[in-house]
This record gives sequence, C-alpha cells and structure tokens, in this order.
Amino acid sequence: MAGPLSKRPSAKTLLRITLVVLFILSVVPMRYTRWTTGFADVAVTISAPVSNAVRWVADPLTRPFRRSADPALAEQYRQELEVARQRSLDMELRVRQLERRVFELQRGAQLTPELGVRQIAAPVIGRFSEASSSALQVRAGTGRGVVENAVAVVEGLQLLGRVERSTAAWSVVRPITDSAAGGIMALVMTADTLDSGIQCRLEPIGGGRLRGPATWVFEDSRQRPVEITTGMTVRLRDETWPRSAQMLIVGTVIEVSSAPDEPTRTVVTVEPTVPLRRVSEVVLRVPIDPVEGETEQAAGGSEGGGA
Amino acid sequence: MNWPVFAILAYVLLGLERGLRDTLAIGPVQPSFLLALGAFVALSAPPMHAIWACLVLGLTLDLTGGWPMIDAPAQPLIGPYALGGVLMAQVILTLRGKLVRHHLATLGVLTFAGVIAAQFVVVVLLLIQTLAGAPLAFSPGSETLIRLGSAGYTAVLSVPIGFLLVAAAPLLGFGGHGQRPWQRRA
Repeated sequence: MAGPLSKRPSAKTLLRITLVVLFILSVVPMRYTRWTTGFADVAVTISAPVSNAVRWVADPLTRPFRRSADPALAEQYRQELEVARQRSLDMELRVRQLERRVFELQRGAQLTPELGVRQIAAPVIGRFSEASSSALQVRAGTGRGVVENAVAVVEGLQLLGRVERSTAAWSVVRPITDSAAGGIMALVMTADTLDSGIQCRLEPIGGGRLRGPATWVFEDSRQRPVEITTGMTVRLRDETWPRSAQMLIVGTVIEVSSAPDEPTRTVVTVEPTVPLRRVSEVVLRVPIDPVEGETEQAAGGSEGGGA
Repeated sequence: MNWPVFAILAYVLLGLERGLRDTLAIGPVQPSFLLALGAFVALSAPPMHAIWACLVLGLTLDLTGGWPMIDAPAQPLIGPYALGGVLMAQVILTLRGKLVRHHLATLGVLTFAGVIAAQFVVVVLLLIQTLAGAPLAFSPGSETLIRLGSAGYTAVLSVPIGFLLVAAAPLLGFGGHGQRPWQRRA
C-alpha cells in the first residue's frame, strides 16, 4: 500500500505548505478571496455533467415520494419576495419623486424663461418650531448660489416665500403666511386678463391663511361693482418683490366678507394651494446675475408697493 | 493507491452529492458522499495517501459549494472542508488501529467520528470569518447541530456506499496483497 508520496521526504513538506496556504485562505477576510470564485466556477462546471445525469435519473424516481414543498424553504422564498417587493416600491417612489422634481423645474423654466433666474431644488431639512415662526430651513445656501430675497416656490408656481437668511450650506425661507413675513400686494383674478385683477393687500392671519381688503372696482358695462367669489385665484403683484415672483400664485379665495368697520368694503381670505408649513421640498429662484437682481430689488423697493 | 480510479470514484460521488442533495435532505441535514469516500480511503489507504485524498475531497467540497451571504451572492471559501478533511483523516488514522478495521460497522463509526471532526473545523473557520466581519448567513449554534446531524446521516450512508467501495477496493489498490483489506484485521 505504500505509495511514492510517502517515500518522498518532500511530501510532508508539501503537505505542510499546502495546509498553511489553506489555513490562510480560510481566515483571510472573504472580500480578499473573491478571486477564488473563478476556480469554483470551473469546479462546478466540471461537476455539472455528472450531477445533471444523476438528477435526471433520480428526479422521476423520487418524484412520488417527494414532499410538495419544504415549508422552511417556502417561508424563505416568501421573505425574499417581500424584500424584493419593498425594494421595487421604494425604487418606484424614488423615480416618481425625481420625475416630479424634473416636472417642477421644467414647468417653472418654461413659464418664465425671460426672468433670468436659475432654479434650485432644495429639500426642507428643518422647521423653526416656535409658535411665532413657520420659517423653513432648506438645504441650499450661498455655496449653490442662493442669495437673500431669492424667491421660493412650490409645485411649480405656488409662491412660498423669500429667503431670509443664507449660509454656505443652508438657507432660511420665510413663508408668506408667516406672521413675521409682513403684508403683500396681490391681485384677485376675476378673469384671465391682467386688467381683470382686483388689487388687495393681504396680511398673514395664522393658520396658513392671509386676509385683507380688496379695492372697490366698478364695472362700467354692467353698471355694478365687480364681485369677488370664492375659488378665484390670487396672484402676487407687489413691487417690493423680485420680478421673478410677480404673478406667482398666492392662493385661492376661500372667504369673501365685508369689513366690520366699513360694510361696503370687501375683505378676502386667501389660502395657498399647498399647505406651506408642510412642504418637503422647495424650488428657489435665484437671479442668474445677482447684481442685477439686487438692483432690481432696490428699484422695486424705492418705487414702493404696499407691504 | 490508484489515483486515477480514486479520481473517477470521486467524480461519480461528487455527481451523487450534487445531484441527490435535495432529494436526500432531511430538512437542513444533508449527507456527504465525498466525506464518506474520504472516510473509506482513510480507513484503507496508507497515511499520507489518506491525508492527501481527504484534502483533495475537502477542497472539492469547498470549490463546489458556495457559502450563503447576507444580501450578497454566495461565495466560495477555500479551506474549511479541505482542512476539515485532513483532520478527519488524522482522526480515522488514529482510531483505525484500535477497531476491527475492515468491518462495515467500523466504517460507519469512523465516518461519524471523522465527519464530526471535519465539521468542527468548518464551523470554527466560519466562525472566525464571521467574527472578522464576513457577512455570512451563519449561526454557530444551529450550524453545529445541523452538521452533527449531517455527520450521523453520512455515517449511515457510508454503510451502503461501503458495499460498493469494497467492490472497488482492488481497483483502488487496497486489495493487492493476498487478503482483501476488508477481510483483514488490524
């Protein structure tokens, strides 16, 4: 039974070396031994013919005795399916979010191509939770070109507010419904033309709403005052705001009433089309040429609006 | 030992191992045809041949069986079964002189002892890998129990395989000196 291997003095040495190599391969972290997959593939390929032949013979013979399904294996497959389903839904959600972002950026750019602004999508990363403030902290700062007074919009054309403060990494946006934001001048659009707009001065009243008196307008053709009804769109028309913010949607009229001290005067309550405190992402309209933006801002401020 | 015949036998048993794995499995417990062959060779072959044969059989198991990983495709790990095979050979070589060497019951008992030794090495090396941070889907406790069961199953399986291997013993070079090795006593 003694073979040539046992007679050679080098056989033991070779065995020792082999064992050392195998031990090293066994304990080295697996990320460093991925190259062995190639050898494994060769071994599996070589064994495939005989194992397939065995399976080909054994399968028909054992089929009557085989259990329909291994419960543990079925449970494992079910769990894997659930994980795959969850990942698929997660990916779909991500795709939809990106599509929506693209849509909003494109819509804003298409509607206002001449404004000379660059749009920056910025996620909301924090809210100032004190009762008196609903300012939002967004993840875009001077590092991305954001400047103070840049206009923030949501859903493409809904005015959110203005950038109040900006650091290198983030900015604070003050929504128009915030009590500290001050009033704004706006137009209640009774028709689709600019002339049909009835000017009003809106002040934040809390609860995400604005309220203020509207100018009395008399309609010559019908010999009666122009009526404001609920559901009408209200757009910004305020010279103290940048040009890129003009005619953005402030909200819709949800209530029309008379001023308590002046019954002939109409007071409108306006609610933004989106709850501004609960937005998760905003689009900032940053002037492409900040100097020009500042000049325009200063000029607008000196002309005076109403806020 | 006749290595070409050993290679052919190993190849056929590898086919049985891979082809009948699911069919013969009792839950997670699966027998190993290759380790049964290793035990037979360790019982009959010269020590150095036995060790090399078991090492090669273990290496074959390492190469043809990927270890399941968490959130990643299975990856082979070369070494655990090969080193386990060497320990199995050593255990059987140590014990074979103390038992009725050429009896099928002896083969069953030594297979059980040898496979336990081999599986112990496998569990320890996998545990080291897990502690080193490898994302192996490996739980030492349950894995040890499963492998104990596998050792028992392989020992039972080694008896019918033993009949076939006894027939092949002369071809393997184990029966060339008068008495057939299966009939000799240690």
